[in-house]
Amino acid sequence: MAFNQLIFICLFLPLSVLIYRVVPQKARKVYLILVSLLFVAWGNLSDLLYLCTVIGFNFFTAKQMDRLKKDGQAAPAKFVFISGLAVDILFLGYFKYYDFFRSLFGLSKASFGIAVPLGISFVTFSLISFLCDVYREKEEVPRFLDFVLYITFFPKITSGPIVSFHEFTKMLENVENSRQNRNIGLEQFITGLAKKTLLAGNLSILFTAVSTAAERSTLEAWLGALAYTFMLYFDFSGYSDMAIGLGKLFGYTMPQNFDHPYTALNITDFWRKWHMTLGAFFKNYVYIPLGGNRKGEKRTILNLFVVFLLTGIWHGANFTFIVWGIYHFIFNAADKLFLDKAFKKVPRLLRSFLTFFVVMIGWVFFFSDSLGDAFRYLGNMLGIGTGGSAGGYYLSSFLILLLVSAFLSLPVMRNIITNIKRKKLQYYFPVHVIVLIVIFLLCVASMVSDTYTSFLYAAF
Amino acid sequence: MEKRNKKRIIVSFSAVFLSLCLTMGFYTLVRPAKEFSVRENRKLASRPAFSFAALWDGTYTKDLSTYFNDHFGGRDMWTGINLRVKKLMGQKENGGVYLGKKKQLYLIPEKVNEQAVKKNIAAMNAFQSDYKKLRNYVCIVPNAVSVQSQNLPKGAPVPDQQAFLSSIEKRLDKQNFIDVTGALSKNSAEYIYYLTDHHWTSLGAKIAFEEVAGAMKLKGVIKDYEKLTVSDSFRGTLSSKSGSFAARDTVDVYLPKTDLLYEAEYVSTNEKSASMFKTAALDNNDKYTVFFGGNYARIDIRTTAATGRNLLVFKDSYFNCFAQFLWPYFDSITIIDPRYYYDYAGDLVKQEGITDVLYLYNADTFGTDTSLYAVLEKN
Repeated sequence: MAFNQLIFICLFLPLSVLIYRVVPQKARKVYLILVSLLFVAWGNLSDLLYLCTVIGFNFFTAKQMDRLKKDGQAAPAKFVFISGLAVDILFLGYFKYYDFFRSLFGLSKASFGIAVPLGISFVTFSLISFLCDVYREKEEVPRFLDFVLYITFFPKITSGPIVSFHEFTKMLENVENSRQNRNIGLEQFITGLAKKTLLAGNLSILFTAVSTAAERSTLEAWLGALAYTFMLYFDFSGYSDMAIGLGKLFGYTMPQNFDHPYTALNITDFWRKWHMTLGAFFKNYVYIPLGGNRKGEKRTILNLFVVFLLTGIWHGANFTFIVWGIYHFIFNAADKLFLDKAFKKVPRLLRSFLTFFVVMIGWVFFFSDSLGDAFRYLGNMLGIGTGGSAGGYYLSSFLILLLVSAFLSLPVMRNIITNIKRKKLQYYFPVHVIVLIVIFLLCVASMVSDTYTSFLYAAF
Repeated sequence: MEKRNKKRIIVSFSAVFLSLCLTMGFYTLVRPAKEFSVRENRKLASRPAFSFAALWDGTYTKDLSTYFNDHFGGRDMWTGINLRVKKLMGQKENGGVYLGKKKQLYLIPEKVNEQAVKKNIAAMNAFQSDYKKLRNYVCIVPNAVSVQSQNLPKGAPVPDQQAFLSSIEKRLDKQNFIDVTGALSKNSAEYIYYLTDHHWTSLGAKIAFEEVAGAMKLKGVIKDYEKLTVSDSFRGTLSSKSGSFAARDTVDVYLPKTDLLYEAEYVSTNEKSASMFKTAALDNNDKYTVFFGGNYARIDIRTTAATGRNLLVFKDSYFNCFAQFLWPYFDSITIIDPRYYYDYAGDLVKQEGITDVLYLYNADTFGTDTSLYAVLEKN
């Protein structure tokens, strides 16, 4: 089931929230686990098998690790810890990269027998975080139910936000079922739904038309790249908003995942604002353990390289993602070495603009099926090998949508709403509610009529 | 007082929202399920049958989601709202259909499947050389996007169908290629394509027929017809696809003024009829099916023309309204729709004493057809 399906929004969501409210406090975690398992089973019953296996294995591993540590057997504990991590990563590797390696050796696709489990990339990160936090004694081995809820919690299981086990433990301590939380949650949920259906959904029409055309003009290539840039943002930040909003409806406060990334001043800044929980994961579990920036400049750059290479690989088994990761590494490293200093005096607007441009070029690698396609597309953007004459048509058809998208990528709207809220106008709240409901109804219209599209990050 | 007021409204938000969702959800579940959407002109998903295997691999729940979407309460209203929002945002197409000026809708042609076209043409050439005595005619009809482009949204990308037709003509051996583009283009201001359907009108077919008659050297071509308007409330497939129901089309049929008679036989059902028009179809949504009642694998027409010519036709639905002009010039016409016909067509040549072969397709279908070659090849 996906958050942007009518059956989820009209049955699963309201029923699960309303029943949650009448379930006694003590039974609420069990209830949430059951609801989450139902959510997973809805997509594919075989996913439950995967979840049970990894949950059982990792909990057992953590218990063993803990026992060995308490017995003062550091080396065996470390061995168990590393073996546990290795198994989790191999599991992910098998499903996500096995075919890629086979293709490198000219072999045909393998059949797994079962479908790639839902959210395996994100679940694996949760498992890694769990083993690390327990091994580093940041957290105790939790009660079994808490661990199961951490892994299965349905708002985040498919595509995040990536919550570290340590963070989740804090979340569990601060569950707050208040009216205010429910309202904030609903607002963020509807905002996310609108981003996905009204913006990303329509932008995908433009992107698909341009990217699948036999040939494209320079203008078409630029419009397509712009469309993808905004589409990916609204798709994934929309998903994240829905996930975070859902969490709030049950009283759980998950970390935000996006902070207007297209206003970033440089690429380092971009990664502070884009898929923030992924950045945090790599920082805490890769960059810092490797020494971070404490071991000299050369080592810092190497650590950055590792992080961005992994970021690329994590997105999928394709050279395009690896190149995209290295591309971002180059700009991050350059920021650290000289670029940031050199650009200090450049006006902020220009810096944001340049950063946006660099990010957009990066997405060309991200969305292309092969490196050859990516370079062909970039060539089209430079006027090489172009054809087609539909640029004017696409521009006139999608100009409003692109402008609205650009506007909504800025923090302007949020600031306006915050300002209005601060003024405590008498009719603000009812108007706000009506606007949200109207937006929601427009989303329903789109979900009923348009061909269903899954979230882009569901594939990663 | 003001504070209490505000609080009461806050209470309502999550309650209002969740009950709104639930109401829509339950309404969808309890309302009687329809099998067919008249407006969208398609069969709706039926409630999936439960099986453990389907539950295991996720198809049961997937089908259930599709069912829920298809039967969602107020579906027509929602698609209307959605189209309006899109138009407001400046979009000029929806559901694979261009929303043209003067309420004209255009099917956006699919990308030509070059491999399939190659295969079909090779089979047509091979069929010709197997039956050298037959006179072969090929008529690929351009679509509204290229003939009536005046109402297209400005700059809308359309394929170059003229180049496509030329490339077909070049690749055909010893076959008479009949290009009706010029004749149709000359009349592009006339009502030659439906506004809301992907077919041509009877008038369009009539104009093309005049070209075809010349190329086929038909004798004693009838000039007088009785024109009957059989429907003025036709909303075709393009309305259904795009969700735009602004226009209605008129369906005309033409009866040649002649004493000749014909009989149509639907071979698969053995049904015989003295008319190729099925008036019962006018009660349906798709009023274009008034011509033969739609597409059939094989229909035989026998006439009292006594011209000594027997025609074998390979066609798509564009032929259905073309037949009303063609029948008086052949003793028999064997109409094959290769999408539904699975036997070798060469067998018909002897059986029916075929003298002429006509391929009549619209350019969009011919560019994507993957079934013609199969009936032309001996297994």
